[in-house]
Amino acid sequence: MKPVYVAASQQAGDRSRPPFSRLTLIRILVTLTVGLGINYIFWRWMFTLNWGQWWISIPLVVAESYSLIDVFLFGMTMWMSVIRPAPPAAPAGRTVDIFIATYDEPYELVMRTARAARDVTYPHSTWILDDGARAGMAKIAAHLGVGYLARGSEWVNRPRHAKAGNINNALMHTDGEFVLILDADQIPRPQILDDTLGYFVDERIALCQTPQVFSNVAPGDPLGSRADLFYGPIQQGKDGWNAAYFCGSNAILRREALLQLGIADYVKSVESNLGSALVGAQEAVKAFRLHYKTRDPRVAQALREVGKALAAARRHLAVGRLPLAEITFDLHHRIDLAGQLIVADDFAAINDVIGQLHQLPDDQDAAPPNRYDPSAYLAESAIRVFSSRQLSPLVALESVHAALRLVEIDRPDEAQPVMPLATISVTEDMATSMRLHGLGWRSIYHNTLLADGLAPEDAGTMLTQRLRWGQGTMQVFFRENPLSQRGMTFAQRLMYFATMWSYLSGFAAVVYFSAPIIFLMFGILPVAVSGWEFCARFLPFMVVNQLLFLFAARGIPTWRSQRFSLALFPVWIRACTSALESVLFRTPLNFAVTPKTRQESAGPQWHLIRPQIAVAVALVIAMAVGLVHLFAGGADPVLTWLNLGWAVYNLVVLGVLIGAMTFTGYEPPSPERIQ
Amino acid sequence: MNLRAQNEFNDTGLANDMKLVTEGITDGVVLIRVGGRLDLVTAPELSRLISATLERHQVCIVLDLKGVSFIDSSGLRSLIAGLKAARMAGGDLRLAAPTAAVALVLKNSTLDRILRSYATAESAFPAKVGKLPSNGRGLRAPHHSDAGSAQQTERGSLTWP
Repeated sequence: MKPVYVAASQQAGDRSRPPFSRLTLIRILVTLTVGLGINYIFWRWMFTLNWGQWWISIPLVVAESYSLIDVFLFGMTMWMSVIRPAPPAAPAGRTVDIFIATYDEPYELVMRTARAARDVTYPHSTWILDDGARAGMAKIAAHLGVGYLARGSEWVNRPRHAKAGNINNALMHTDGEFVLILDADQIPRPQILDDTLGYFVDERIALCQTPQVFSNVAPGDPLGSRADLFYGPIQQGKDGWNAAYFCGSNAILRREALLQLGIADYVKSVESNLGSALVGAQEAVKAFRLHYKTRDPRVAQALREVGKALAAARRHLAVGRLPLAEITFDLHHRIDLAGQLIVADDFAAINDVIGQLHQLPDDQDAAPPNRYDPSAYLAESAIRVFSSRQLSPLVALESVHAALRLVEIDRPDEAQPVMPLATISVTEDMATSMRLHGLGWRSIYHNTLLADGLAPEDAGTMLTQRLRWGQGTMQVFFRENPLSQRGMTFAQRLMYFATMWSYLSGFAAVVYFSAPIIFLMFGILPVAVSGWEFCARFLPFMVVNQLLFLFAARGIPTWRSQRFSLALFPVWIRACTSALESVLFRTPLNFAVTPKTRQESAGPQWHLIRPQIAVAVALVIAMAVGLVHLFAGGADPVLTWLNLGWAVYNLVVLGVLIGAMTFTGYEPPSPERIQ
Repeated sequence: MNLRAQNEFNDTGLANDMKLVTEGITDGVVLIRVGGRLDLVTAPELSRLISATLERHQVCIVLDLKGVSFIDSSGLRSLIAGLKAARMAGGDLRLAAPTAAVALVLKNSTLDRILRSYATAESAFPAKVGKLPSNGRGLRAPHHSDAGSAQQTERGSLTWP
């Protein structure tokens, strides 16, 4: 790094604090929240469990503990929520590619984004990444004077990896030093690169994420599209811990960092493919050896040598001290030596073999399904050679050579060996930035609006989108749990973990909805304690917690998003269960591309929120029953009123869905109203 | 894409300072001395030289990296591409004498799990391994060059990935 960079990077790393009083106030509130929260939950676990009704008592205290950890993680995020100073000016002469990822969005939408991307002021190249490979889109790109990229034939019969695959493909066909990634519905502002490239003068910076804000949100935000708390204090807090993460669009990435990820991922997969290929080869050689044992001892001896060489290679691979190239080179060498035992001076056999060899590549290409699994491929090719008895054992050895060669340097199971963007999840963005942080790269959250997005305009689309986010996040949680990732600081791991933890809220919500229903209907109390004592422990915590929320949000309205996060509990539960299923059984999730246009339909689709409607009905019935108990049956008034209040709160929370379901789409304000 | 401009920015005005020198050291082994920057701009040149060498049936190649001041992931990819092409041709590609900077990049990218670096160009192909059994070589060469060209057309070109 040159001296000028060092100076600049120090400048970029330096943060201006927000007004002293507010950060201090937030930290005091965080401390109080944690203290009072621990006081409350400790008391709950130790002194209040109603063991007679453990089936509701335990779930409730577990749900409360879950929420408390969620609050603690939020507090930790807010502890470092600071506002960055403006970056240095963008250096001249850097090369940038702007990628617009599209699959099936309407032409007009992509055109609008592409035109805006083309007109970004900093010199760059613009590319439409058309995963739909539509001829019309190629024409539009030519018309606009921007580049057009679709997947090549190498992707046929191989995993496509959705948007991550689309971008990985484009990375291999472009060469800009930086990449700005845009969804088709995110219209960039002209200064987007001028305002952000300055950060990258610090050569440790790999990523700069900017907000995703929607320009088509109706007054009152009926679908809860606004994520101002996330694209604001939360990302700023993560940024404070150097854990601001990539959110898929409106982000600038350093190509070198992405390629480094891709190479590390390539090395890992070559290692594991070679491992399974060696297993397959051993099985194949064993089968040959049994076949030749009685027929030709010389051949059996050679095959024994090959078996030993394979075992040695596996051993070296497991120990991990020798480089793979050396292990495989020695292995091929030893297989050749063993082959010499057979060949000796049988020239007729050699000519025969050369003739037969030319048949092999065709055979291999004829069995594409097995290229995904090197060991299955080897076993199958072994069986094929074995069954055609007229083939010489040399050909059998040659098939081992060939099969090893397929996996020892290359990566036949993927369209391209280097996959820079992580493909372990349908939300490739989070997984990718976690790996970048793991390699020691730094990220930036730049909290200035630099692109105008379009949010879903109907409840069905909104629900699909939320489900996908949840699924993707939980896939990362199960596949590469941040807590066990080496290379990141503990704080960085917790920041990623915080996001994943919040997606478990669906299970807690079920308990929170059920508890008041169970009390009001049956008089069963999950807490063995008087109402007053409960209030004395719980209310102080709740008050500080809400104050923390209020100050941390800096005036951003959060009530609506709090309600959405509880009311969408079936979506979160499905996200968790389907992600776990996909990881356990290695089945792909059906990647749902969020429709970017309004889904026309006749009236509200109430069937989408059946569980929530059932809960609401149950709450109303329970409240009625509770009132009867209170006035006729002599139920505890304090406890009954507390639970009635809780039930009303739950109904208000669920009420947020009424607005979402009956929303009929965004009507842009007329020009007069704007003025 | 303005490559020239980028390179000038990276490297104080020297547009392309990679040096490539080919020489034979022992029979069958070709030494390529690489000097300067091995990056986005210069890596394709190295890939071209490697494939030209392989086409002359000189399949055992040592890359002497003593003079390499900088390597990026494009450079690393040209090394893997070269290794793959050499193996497909029935030979091998080995690295020798990397500078500390290059060794660090190899380590950070974990590519040192695949490629070994030898201390000197002369030690890269010890005589006992360098001279491969002529029978095995003679048998395998035609088959693998076939497989190699099939792979190349499938992937587009030798400039893998």
